[in-house]
Amino acid sequence: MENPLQTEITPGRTVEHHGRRLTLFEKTVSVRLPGDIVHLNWKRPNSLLVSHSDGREEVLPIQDRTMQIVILIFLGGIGLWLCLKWLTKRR
Amino acid sequence: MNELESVEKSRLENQDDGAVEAVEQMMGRMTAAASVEAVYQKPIQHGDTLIIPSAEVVAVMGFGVGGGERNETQQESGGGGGGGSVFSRPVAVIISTPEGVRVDPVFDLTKVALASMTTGAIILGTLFKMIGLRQKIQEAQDEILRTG
Repeated sequence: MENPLQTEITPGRTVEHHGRRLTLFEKTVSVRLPGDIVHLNWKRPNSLLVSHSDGREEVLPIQDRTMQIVILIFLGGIGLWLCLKWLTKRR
Repeated sequence: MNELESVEKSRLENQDDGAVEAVEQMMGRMTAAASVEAVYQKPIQHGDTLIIPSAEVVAVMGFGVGGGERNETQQESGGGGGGGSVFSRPVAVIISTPEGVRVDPVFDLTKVALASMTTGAIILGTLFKMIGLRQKIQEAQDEILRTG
């Protein structure tokens, strides 16, 4: 049976600029429920490969700052909520 | 009668084929909407600078079909439907200049504010509940002391 959750990183278009070649990579997460009744496809930029004319290569990760902060706020909230619950029980 | 039945059957089969085709078309359009070109938009050249906007794309689609059995009074019937949504949000901007390449993240203040307000509301709710509980305990203790 096919895995309902699939993740893959694929190279996208390549752009040449100032003697550098930029290769854009994207990450795809797809969820398919049995019978293909529901199909979710989530694509996001993953990283950027910069190939310099002298042969040097560097990978720049593309970070989703907004989502990182939102997750941090929620995790902080859960932590605080658990602390408050624990304090309520102690009293 | 048999001829009529076969005509009706082929009509229903044609209807089913049409529905499947429509769903396939819709899925194709939605998959195309979530393609690589949607994640990395067309590069924008501005003087010596090249800008490539990038976004996350979420495509959700679903469909279902159903049918009823034939009985004495009613003919065989069936139906189906589907729908979906494509959502896109900017994530970062890739900037290439003669000096180098950098990735500038896009900060969505609205999303952060909404997350903060939701979390804050839950924490405040718990705090109010805690204060209320403490008052109740205090009242119960006072009552016990009064009654002796």
